[in-house]
Parts: sequence; C-alpha cells; structure tokens
Amino acid sequence: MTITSIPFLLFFFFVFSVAVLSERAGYYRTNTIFLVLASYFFYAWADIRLCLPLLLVTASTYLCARNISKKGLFVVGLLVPLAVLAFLRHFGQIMPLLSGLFGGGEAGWVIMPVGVSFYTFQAIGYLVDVRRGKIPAENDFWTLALYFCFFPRLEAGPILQASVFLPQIRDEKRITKEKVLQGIQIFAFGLFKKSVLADRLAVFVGDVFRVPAAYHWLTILWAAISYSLQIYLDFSGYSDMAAGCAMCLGYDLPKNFDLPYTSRSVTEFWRRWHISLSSWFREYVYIPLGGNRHGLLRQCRNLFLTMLLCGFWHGSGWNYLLWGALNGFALCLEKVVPVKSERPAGRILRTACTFLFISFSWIPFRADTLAEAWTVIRSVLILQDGIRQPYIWTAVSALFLTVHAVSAGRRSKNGGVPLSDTVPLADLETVWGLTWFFVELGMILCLAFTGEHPFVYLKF
Amino acid sequence: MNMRRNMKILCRMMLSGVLAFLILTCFCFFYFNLPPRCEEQSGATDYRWSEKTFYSRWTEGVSWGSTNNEGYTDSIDHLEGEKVDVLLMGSSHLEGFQVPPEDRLAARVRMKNPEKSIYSIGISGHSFLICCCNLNTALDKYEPSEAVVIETGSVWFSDSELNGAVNGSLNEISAFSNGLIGFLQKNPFLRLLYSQFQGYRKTKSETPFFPQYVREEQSQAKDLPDSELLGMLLRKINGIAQGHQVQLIVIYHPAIGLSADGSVQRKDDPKTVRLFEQICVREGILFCDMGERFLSEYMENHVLPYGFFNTSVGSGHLNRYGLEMMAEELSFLLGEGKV
Repeated sequence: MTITSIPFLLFFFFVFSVAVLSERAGYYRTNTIFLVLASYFFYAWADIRLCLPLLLVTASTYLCARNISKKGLFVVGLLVPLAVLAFLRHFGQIMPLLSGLFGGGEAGWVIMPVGVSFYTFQAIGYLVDVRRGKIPAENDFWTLALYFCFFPRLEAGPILQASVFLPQIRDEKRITKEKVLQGIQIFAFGLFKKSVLADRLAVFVGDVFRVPAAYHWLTILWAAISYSLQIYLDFSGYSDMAAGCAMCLGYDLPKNFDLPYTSRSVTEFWRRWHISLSSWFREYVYIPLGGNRHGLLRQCRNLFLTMLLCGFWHGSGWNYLLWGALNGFALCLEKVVPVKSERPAGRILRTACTFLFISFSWIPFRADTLAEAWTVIRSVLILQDGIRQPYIWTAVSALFLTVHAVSAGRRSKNGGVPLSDTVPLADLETVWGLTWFFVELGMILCLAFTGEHPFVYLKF
Repeated sequence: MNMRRNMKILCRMMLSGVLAFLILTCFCFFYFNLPPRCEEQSGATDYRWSEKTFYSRWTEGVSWGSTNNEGYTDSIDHLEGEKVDVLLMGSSHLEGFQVPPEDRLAARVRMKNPEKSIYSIGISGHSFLICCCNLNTALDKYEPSEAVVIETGSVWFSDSELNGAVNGSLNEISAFSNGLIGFLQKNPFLRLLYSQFQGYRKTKSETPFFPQYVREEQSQAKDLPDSELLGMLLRKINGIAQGHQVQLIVIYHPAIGLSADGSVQRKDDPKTVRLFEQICVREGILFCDMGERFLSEYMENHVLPYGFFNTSVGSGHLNRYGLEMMAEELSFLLGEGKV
C-alpha cells in the first residue's frame, strides 16, 4: 500500500473520518492510540515482520529515555536502533547464510527494510536530545509510539524532530477546515510530481542505466539530468504527500525540500535538499565531530566524514561512498575557495554549475555498483556512439520546475508566502480556486504513469 | 441557515466540476483524441473509426490529422469501385496513430511505388488471426489486383486461437458504438480516463477501446504452435488470396531487446519463426521477416524500430524508422517482380 495507491486513499479516508469523529467527541487520547494502531496496520501491509523491530525500537527507546541518567542504558538505547538498522539493511545477505547453515531454504527471507532508517534515526536523535536535556523524556508510551510510527512519513521520511513533533501530538485541537483544505492540495501537488513526472522520467532513466553501452553519450548525459529531476520530483513528491496527509490529520511536518536546484553552491544545495536528513547529520554527526570549531582543516575533515557517512547510510556499496565523497569534497572545496558573485550572470552560472555537479554526483548514486557507474561515466568521456534518444518528459519536468521556482520566488517577493512555502495553494472556497483544483486532479488522472515505479527512497 | 450554506457549497462544487470538465475535455481534445468507433458493415475489418474525423494523440509519439472517407487512417480516400493494386491489412502498427500520416507504412510504400495504387485498412486490435478471418470480405470489397499484405507482430498462436481462425469462430472486436459506452467514447477526457484505468489494471494488451500495445512474442519457453492447424490456416488464407488472383504477403516484425553489452537481440523464438516461414513457403505465401533487417540497421546506424521520444526506448509501436525499413522491404518485394 504505497501512498500513491487507491488502497492507501481508501485507508486514509477511513483514518481521517475516524480521527475527525474522535476529535469532535473530545477523545484525543483515543485518537492518538487509534493513529498508532492505524500506522502499524499500514506498516504491516508492507510486510508484517517489519512491525516487530519498530515496536522493539519504540519500547527500548521509551524505557532508556526514562532512565537516561544511567549511561549504560543510554548506550543500550543507541545500540538497539543501530543494531536493528544494520540487521534489517543486511537481512537479505544474513538470513540466506543462516538458513543455509541450518539447512533451510532461502525463499521467504527477502525483506525490504522500508522506512527503517527514518525511525531509527528519530530514536537516536530523541535519546541524544533527552540526554542533552533539550527535551524531557516522554512519559506517555502511545505519544512516543506515534512519534516513531506516524504513517504518512513512516516509509520515506521526513525525519521528525522530537522537540517539534511531540508537542503536536500532545496538543488537543488539531484538525481544522483550513488545514484540511491546504492538506489535500499539498497532497495533490506531490502526487502530480510523483505520478506524472517522476514516474515517467524513471522509464527513460531505467532504460539508459540498464544498458549504458548502447547509448550515445548525449543520451547518457540527458539521462543523468533526467535522474536529477526524477529523484527530486520523486522524493519531494513523497514529502509533499506525507505533509498533506499529516496536515489533514492536524499535524505539521517539516519541509524537506526548498527548491534545491536553484542553489548556487553545493553547500546551499545541502541546506535545501532532504533538509531533515541534512539537519540530522549536522546535529548528531557533524557538530559532535567538532563542526567548524577547530579551524578550516578540521572543519573540512568533519564535513568530508559526515558526507561519507551520509553516503554509507544510503548503502554499503562503493558507489554510495563515492557519491558521499564527491559531495564531501565539493563542500570542502567551497570552504577553501569561497566564490561569491552577485552579478546576475554569475548567479546563473553558479546555479548551472551546481546543478551539473549534482547531476554528475547522482550517477554513482543511481548505478547499482561502482563498475556500472564507471561504465556510464566512461561512455560520456569517450563520446560513445549509440542510440540517440531524446526524451520529452525531461524537458517537460525541467519546465515545470523552472516555472515553479520562478513563481515561488515571485510570491515571496510580493510579500506573500516565503520562498520555502513552495506549494501553490488555491482558495478552495471560491469557484475558480475549486475549478483549478479539480483541473489539477483531472490532469493527474489523465497524465499519471500507470506502471509500477516504487519511491526511490523506500529502499533507504 | 446551515441548509442554505450547504446548498451554496454544493452549487459551487458542481459549477467548478462542470468548468473543470470542460477545461479537461479541451485539453484532451488535443492530447488524446481518438475518433469514435463505428460498425463496419462490410466486414473488411471488425470496426472502423468515424469517417472524416479529427484525431490527435500525444501519448505515444505524436500525430494528428483526420480519418479518411471510410474511417481508416490512410491519408488517401477510397471511393467504391476505385482501383487498388495492393491492399494492406493489419494492426495498430499499420494504422500508425503514433506517427504523422506521411510516415505511415502505406504512405511510405506509396511514395516508393508511385505507379501502384496502395491502400491500407490497418486498425487497432486486428492481429494476424483477425485479419485472416476478415481476408475474404476485404478482398471482395477492395478487389486488389496484385497483392494483399498482412502485417503481424507475432507468429505464435495457441491451438484455440488457430482453431477459431480456421473455423471463423474468433470473437469479433466490438465497436461499442451504441448505448452509454458509445456516447461516452465521444468525449476525449472520459476516453483517456478509461485508457488510464485500463493501464492501471495492467491490461495493456487487448482492451475493448484501446487495443494499442503490441503483444510481445509469447513463444519464449512455450511449445511450438500446432503445425497442422497452422498449415490449415495458411492454406485456407492463401486459397482465398488465389481465388481473388492476388499474391498473399505476410510481413512480420518481431520485438527486439537490448542486451547488456549494448547489442540487440530478437525476442522471438527462432523455431516458431522457422516453422511459420516453412509453411508459408510450402503454401506459396511470401513471408517477409523484418528481424534481420532490424538487427543490421541497429548495428550500422544505432536505430531502433520501436519506441518514441515520450515512451520507453525500443518498445511499443513501430516508429518512423521501423516503418521505413518495412516500407523498403515491402517495396522491394512489390518492385522486384516477385509479385
């Protein structure tokens, strides 16, 4: 039951209805418990075995946080989510070996650790925050459970900060008409990005990365750019949908993307891309390593290590490490050689260069192995001849993102919503606003790619 | 008071719904607008499109234009009793809704053989077996003087399919031109929604309204078709062609796929193709297998016969390169005195 599927919409409609009714009746705690159960049901739909590690992490974190003054328990509290993360990430490799040892078959052991990273990171962040005294330990188990398992963001984030989300769960009055009207529009916008644009880009990207040896180097470059657009539209689409669902239920999720491809440097890109993950790494890895406190050299070392770890988090393959290293190197370079140009041409050039670098760095990220990544890069370097295949949806997506970025910028200049509020919202209480929304829904139905393309970030 | 407010909301929603419907219909008029389907009284095809009707399709390739006076996509009209030298029958590949009218097979063959009158009645969903069932009626109606060509993307058939074609008991493709469905298919937005719904259900092969996707060769890992039944069918259709004093040509375009090393391979089963070819030769049918031509064209020019700039690479319908290759092979057969 992915967030774009019809079963999910039915499920969400049911959950929403019950949530509204229970809030109207004043059963706030019942509502929290109901949302926890609904979230576990949602997770069990993907794979019922995934519920057990989630429950384990929740219970251990709850108990350890309540006894956070004992260092041993704090360490145990950190080790449990890390162990769960490591185990589930490598479950596919471990279990066939074990079953081979004990003479069992391999079938049935395949498990996709959907969303495991996100709740384990939340658990670690929560424990550290409690230990630092930033927030008090949560007394109510159901509240903490909902913080970990809240279904709209369970599968692919964003990573929620306990200090922001826990008070929202405790707050009694949540669902309002305004939030619901905004929520469904944000959801629809995300659905458009995912189902219409990202899924269509995935077709071309998949074709080219499957057999890079067959394509002309310009086609491969086009595919690399297509992948940059695909991963952004896919992931930000999911984040928008998650935020939309959460908003309908009365919760505000943090913004996860802020027009990242308008960045003028890699440093700025990482402030705008997957914000919840970057913030997590900054807060719990980069700053504990020393941050920028001990000179430029140490700062560069910390940046590089943080990005390397970020790459490792995405996967243990060398290709992910290379991706992390490339970004780490770029961040360090920008610290050593800062470039500042306020002229319009200079700004545009820097934006273009940043986009091209990020697109290049996505190649090892998209490839399954380092060897595959090298095949792709080599094909471009040797100006390989092959199939020349333009793909129109890349141009359509680029145009969409450009218009979107420009309109978001203009709205912020006019004193309306800030640049970071990137979703265009119509007033659904007017005929034109409602017409616009219906047209948007109709366009999604007309243009949506009807094949199967799972969210890119589900595997993380 | 509450009642009045609710009524106001309801009215606003209905008005917005109607406005949005109109806007979406206008959009789909250009984006995906197939003509309504009609009954074909003569039986030359199971159905036809509404005649002299605008169409536009941007979902796979891009093309627009209007159907001819008979409701087919051939760029020329055909008047009753008009002379036809070569009649082309086949599926959506021949129909060519994915390419501009001048790039379709009939137009290309006509350009290469200006002295011959060539006419195409290719239409979606008309697989080889359905064309076999319609062959007699089509030849009665158009009376071609030289040849009849049947285009096919598959030469593997199950026993029940072959039996159906031999006995003439294959299910006809309905036009759905009457009743509610007939009415609804006149709206391009609803029609596209239906197509999307079918895609969502993963029934991308033969749907009542949109039999648009090539059925990939099914013979991989399957038994050979029953040679006796296949022989009976090919003997029967060649007898029909001979009865009308025309040469029967079967032009076959297999699906091809890219290998990991960047080369291309046929996706069909060579044994099935060989069997089909042997029976064709035995019965006196000209069999034109496009497979080797597709492979050599790829090796020389890196050109794939299938796929478009808005769909998956190398799959789907024949593109203009594939149609040009077929037109060249067909022109060679028609021009070299083999016919």
